Amino acid sequence: MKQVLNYNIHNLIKFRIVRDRRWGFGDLMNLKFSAFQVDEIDKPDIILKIGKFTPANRDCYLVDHKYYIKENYLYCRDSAEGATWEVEILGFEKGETVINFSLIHRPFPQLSKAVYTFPTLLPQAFLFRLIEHRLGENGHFLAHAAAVAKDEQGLLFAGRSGCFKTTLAMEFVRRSGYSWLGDDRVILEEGKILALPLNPRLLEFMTKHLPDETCWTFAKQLRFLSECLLSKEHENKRHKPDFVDLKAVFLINKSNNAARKVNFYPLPQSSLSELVEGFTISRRLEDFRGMGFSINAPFLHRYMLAYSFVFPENLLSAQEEKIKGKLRSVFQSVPIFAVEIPPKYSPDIFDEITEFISRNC
Amino acid sequence: MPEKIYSIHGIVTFKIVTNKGLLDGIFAPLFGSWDIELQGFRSNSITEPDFVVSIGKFNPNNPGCTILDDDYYLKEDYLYCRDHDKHAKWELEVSGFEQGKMKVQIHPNSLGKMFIPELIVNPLIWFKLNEGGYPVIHASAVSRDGKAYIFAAQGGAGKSIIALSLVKKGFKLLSDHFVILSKDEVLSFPTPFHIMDFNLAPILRGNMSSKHKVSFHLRQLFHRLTGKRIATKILPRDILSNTLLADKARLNAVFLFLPKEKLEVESIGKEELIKHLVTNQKLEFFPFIKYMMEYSYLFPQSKMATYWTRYEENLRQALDMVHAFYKVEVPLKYDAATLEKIGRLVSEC
Repeated sequence: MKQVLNYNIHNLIKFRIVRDRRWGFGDLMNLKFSAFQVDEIDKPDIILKIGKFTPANRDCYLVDHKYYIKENYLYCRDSAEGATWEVEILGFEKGETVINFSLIHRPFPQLSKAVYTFPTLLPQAFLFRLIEHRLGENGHFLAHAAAVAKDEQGLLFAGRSGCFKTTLAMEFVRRSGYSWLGDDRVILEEGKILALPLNPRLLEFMTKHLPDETCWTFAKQLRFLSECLLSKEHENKRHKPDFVDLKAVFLINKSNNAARKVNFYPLPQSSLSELVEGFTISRRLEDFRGMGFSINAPFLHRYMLAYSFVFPENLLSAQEEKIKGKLRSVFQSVPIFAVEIPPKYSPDIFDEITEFISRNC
Repeated sequence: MPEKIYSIHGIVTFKIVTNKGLLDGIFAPLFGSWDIELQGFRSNSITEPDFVVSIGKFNPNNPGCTILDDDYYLKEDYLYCRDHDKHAKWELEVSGFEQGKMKVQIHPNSLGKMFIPELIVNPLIWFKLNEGGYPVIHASAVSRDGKAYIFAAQGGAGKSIIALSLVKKGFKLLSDHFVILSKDEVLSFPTPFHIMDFNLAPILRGNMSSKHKVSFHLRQLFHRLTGKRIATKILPRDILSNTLLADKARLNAVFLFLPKEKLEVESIGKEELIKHLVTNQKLEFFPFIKYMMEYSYLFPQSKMATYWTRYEENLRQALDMVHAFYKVEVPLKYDAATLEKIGRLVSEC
């Protein structure tokens, strides 16, 4: 039996996931976009179909023995970490997009390989990449950053994986009464942040039970899974507000310098182009890490390159330049600070950051 | 510790210092000697090498670094990371790539060592060559009367088959896998042939020594048993006579191959070709391209971050005096008639 799930992100993008209903608790916890689920949508921009399919890969260019490519189309059979899958993307760069995905072989179940074990997780990384592209085409930037807000004023924390974006968002929520807009991605437009709460259920659990994001233990994982099982109907509270003013940007980097303390460096507007460059590089580095799905294999990056090899002039690779201009206007006249934090998280880090904010913002 | 010197046409020289690994002997029959990819560059040069690669355990000099993605330790002109590709694992430290002397330390596991030349050393060579104005492209090449013809493509497009079919027709082989370009000349990049069942050209089959034949058939058997292909690697000089090999020539024409259905030739402009060539090379740059991007995230103005811009510029200069660029759609499987047609096309250039 097929299950049809509809999503609408701030009326900017509408998409649908169609899949077999047979995953028990996996169904409940592994849909990243559940905060945006709606009953009905008309004309979805993207449809993700999970399950067996017959590829329409005739008349294709064949790149490196495995990528079947024609205009606006990509198909390949790929594997990583013991999993093998088939993916077909119709409407790769424009028009209505359909992603067909089928997990042919899955590895021995391990929590660390969850993304390859649940057939619904991996294709959401492809879906997310295309959502990013669509948002970009409409002038919205999907930033790899956490954001929290109070009194309609939003703070943005950007940085690569592992720099405690999620932990900081958790701390702002439980210790300073902020509400969270997103812990991994948010949408930016001129002077504004749009909320993109992903995995709300997981973040709620973490905020309640974990001192910081690295404190997962097996017992805590079991507890989370059992909570998901016991209360099947999780109320998806929409975290209001979901549209706030961008008040300040913090670029967080972990550093192992001897001092082991938090350092702040205000960035002058003259370093705006470096900042924009950094944001764009971060965006492309995510093609190696599966858009926040803890994938550490370069297949997304390869799909994009293989397509660009055949069609060098395509909307996906052309977007970079367009986005740079957009970002410039987003960050113009917003105070930006680089923050250096020690490699291990301690609550003092949060204290110093809040103190800095109360003094400077 | 044993040291080996390698030189690429005297433009870039480097030294590798390593101990014999415990399992080298076990992997050798399967993958070939660990440095087979580089053996074509072995040299007795005594000039100071441009960079030194030490393979073995090392203590990273990484205090004061910014840590990205929990695996990358970066500071100015310095990169340290741990990485893996399936079961191959390695720790890598590179310093001095922005200025001064480049120094590389790699600590791989036994399987990882087999992939170091292709995954790490090759990109480092390309990086250094590009710095000197010599862009490397993923292509095969042949020459006749001092004129070079380049066949750029991704895997599976028949780069080797086409080059070798032309060698049979009186051309000389310049390169099988990568080619070095410069303002005046095309230079060979003598990596070994990666021979598999689908690209075993008749000229190679005919010249294989019995030892090579045995290892080829063992790998065929391995493929039947496990479904995994391992190429038989043979250096051009070990299978083709010297008269069939060339090491430089003047660039005459570039062909870009895209496998689709049937043979179709279209003349394209230089800028379009360059775009194809850049992605073609990026696809070969994994995993190093990721390290470059991590470094660029922190230092967007660095040499490493501007690598691809300079690469494009170098390509533009190298292709400056040439006007024959073709995009060639080729069938997925080659037959004699197609090879004949391609041969005619090249000869007429």
